[in-house]
Amino acid sequence: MSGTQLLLNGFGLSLSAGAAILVLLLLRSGIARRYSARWRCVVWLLLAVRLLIPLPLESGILRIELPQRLSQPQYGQSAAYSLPQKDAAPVPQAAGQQKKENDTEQPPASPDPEADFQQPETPPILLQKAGPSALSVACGVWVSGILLCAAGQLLRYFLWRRQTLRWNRPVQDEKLLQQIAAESSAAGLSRPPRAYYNAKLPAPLVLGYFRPMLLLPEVFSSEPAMGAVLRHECIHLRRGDLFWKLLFLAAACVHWFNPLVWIMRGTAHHDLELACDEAVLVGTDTSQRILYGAALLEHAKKPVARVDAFHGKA
Amino acid sequence: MKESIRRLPDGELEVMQALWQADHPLLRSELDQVPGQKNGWAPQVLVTMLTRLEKKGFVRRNKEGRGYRYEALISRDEYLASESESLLERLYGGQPAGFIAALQRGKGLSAADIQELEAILQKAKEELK
Repeated sequence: MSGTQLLLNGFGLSLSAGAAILVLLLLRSGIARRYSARWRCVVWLLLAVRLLIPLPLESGILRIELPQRLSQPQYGQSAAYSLPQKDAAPVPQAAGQQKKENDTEQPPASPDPEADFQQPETPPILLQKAGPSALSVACGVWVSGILLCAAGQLLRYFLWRRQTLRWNRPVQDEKLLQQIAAESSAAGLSRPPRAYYNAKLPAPLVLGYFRPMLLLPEVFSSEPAMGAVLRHECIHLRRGDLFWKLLFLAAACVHWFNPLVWIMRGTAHHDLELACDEAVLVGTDTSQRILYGAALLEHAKKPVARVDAFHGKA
Repeated sequence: MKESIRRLPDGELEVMQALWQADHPLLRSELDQVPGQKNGWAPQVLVTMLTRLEKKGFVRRNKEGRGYRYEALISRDEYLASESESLLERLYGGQPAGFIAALQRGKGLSAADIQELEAILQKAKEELK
């Protein structure tokens, strides 16, 4: 598939996906509120995957029949084929005339088939010089955008990692380690994540794709709903949410020009968190839910701002 | 508090972390034994780092017997605050939401939202009793 075709497929896909996202966002704030966040996550995931497959919509999602695709008129060349219709009259005459002039130099050949062959030749040659260069510029801009976007995101991640992980202090409190092990097996993980305290963090988080880490703020021992919070993070790990987030990021980078895809990504992140909350609260009673809600609210009140993001020792 | 505290490289930060954790001045030999340190330091490396820290004003050494006892001159809180205010931190210190899953939901809630949520929670608590 040529670069320009990829561009146009991608652009068309972005537009239609954008429309779908708008509809979903409206639904989400309306009736779909009653539907579990987990289902919304699945829909976002499917959208993200579709956004990453550079096939146009006509060929359908599952049918990847490239030969058939190639034989259909392609956007860039259909304009070429439309031009000869205007020039159809003069071209064979010109070719005929040229033929007559070159008769002495070239060996004689039957005129009619050659005139027919010559007819589609000249206009596409004209077009190739004028038209596609604009498309290839657009393609270049698009690809540069993707690379810049991805590079920026990755740079931000690795710099943050560098700044933050050097403050890791392994958790050694037996009780806490046991609780982490208990919550992680309740969440369904085969083994608990490595756990560290980190002075830079206001709230717990998980990171890492192959050997994930659980990072806890230093004041974690006074966390009101400690078990539920640990369970929340472990469920993220068990569901592979970090990988889902990478997918959303990839879709947003590829469609960097489309603000709706970025909005979808933010909404998907939010829904991933809500889905985790739902999983944590399954089978719990009201008092536990109140505790969990209070813990979340306490965290929401804390500033995420970096300047205040540490808790001093008394 | 110092005007501009220089950012420490990883190795020197580790030494400071050991001092902060112990919360009292340490002998060189004791530095290795602070719990939670990844590996011990090769003696020469440790000496170098302590010297550098001293030059930077992070550490002061006081003679004790045949060796020295090292004390931290800058507290961890001071240092953390200065790191948070650095340019690097301001640019890249924010959590990269795409690569981590944090409990904190971001800046979504206004003061009014928080009040409303607290009222809901309070009501729920009372209904429970």
